Amino acid sequence: MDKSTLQIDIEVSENSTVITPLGDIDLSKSSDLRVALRPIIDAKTERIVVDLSHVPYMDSSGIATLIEGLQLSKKSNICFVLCSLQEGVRSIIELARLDQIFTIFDTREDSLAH
Amino acid sequence: MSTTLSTSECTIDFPTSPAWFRSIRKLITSAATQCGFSNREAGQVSMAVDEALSNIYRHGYMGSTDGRVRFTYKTYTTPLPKIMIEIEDDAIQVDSNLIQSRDLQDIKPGGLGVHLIQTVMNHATWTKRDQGGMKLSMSKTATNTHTTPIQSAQK
Repeated sequence: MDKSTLQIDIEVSENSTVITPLGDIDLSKSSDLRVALRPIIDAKTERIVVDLSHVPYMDSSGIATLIEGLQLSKKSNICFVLCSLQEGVRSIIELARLDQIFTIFDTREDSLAH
Repeated sequence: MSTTLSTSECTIDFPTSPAWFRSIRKLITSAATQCGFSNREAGQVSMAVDEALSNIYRHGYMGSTDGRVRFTYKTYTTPLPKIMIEIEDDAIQVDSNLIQSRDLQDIKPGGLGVHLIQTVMNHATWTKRDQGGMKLSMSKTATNTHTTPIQSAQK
């Protein structure tokens, strides 16, 4: 198993937390994203933005992690949104017919403004 | 960088390590692009292969990196770009009728891999190998091809 962890930038503001994974999210990295999301959800911020501008590739385990994050956020009344999807990631979300389930913004600014 | 379409074929035997899966993704993306697939479709073929390898690792070998996978692909440029892929393992055999996409209306984590494979590829069939293990045969013909600079000039 690949021992290197997924690098993730986290920016916390008063009402929002922006989480920015840096690199592919595949079988060996999706658990890193899950570990990063849990305390943010537990902290009950108003809004979680997952900025995917630096994620060229995501597999179904990454998608599963985002679905889990969305469902846990809903239970805590947290707004969970995605932004800045690259073509490869947008493609898999559309193929899984999840583009109607996730709230997706073109830019980080849009995701924080709405 | 090549400006003309070219075919390639390759057989590789490797362990069920996610680090290898990344290398295979890059290989298959390059092979598909070189034979004329668009970047988008090449990425989707690569994703289908990655999902298949992940399923073998997680369900076939139960997360063991000691398993082996034999991966073969062959590309064609005419009449349309096409890629044929075979993935064989020595893992647990399963009834191929049980390998199914789940209901996507039921929004839940997991179970998307088979749906993605079947959606992206024109053909995907799982069979039990006589020697043990499973074999997945997949193929895809490009629908959106990229045009190389040389081809554009010749038109």
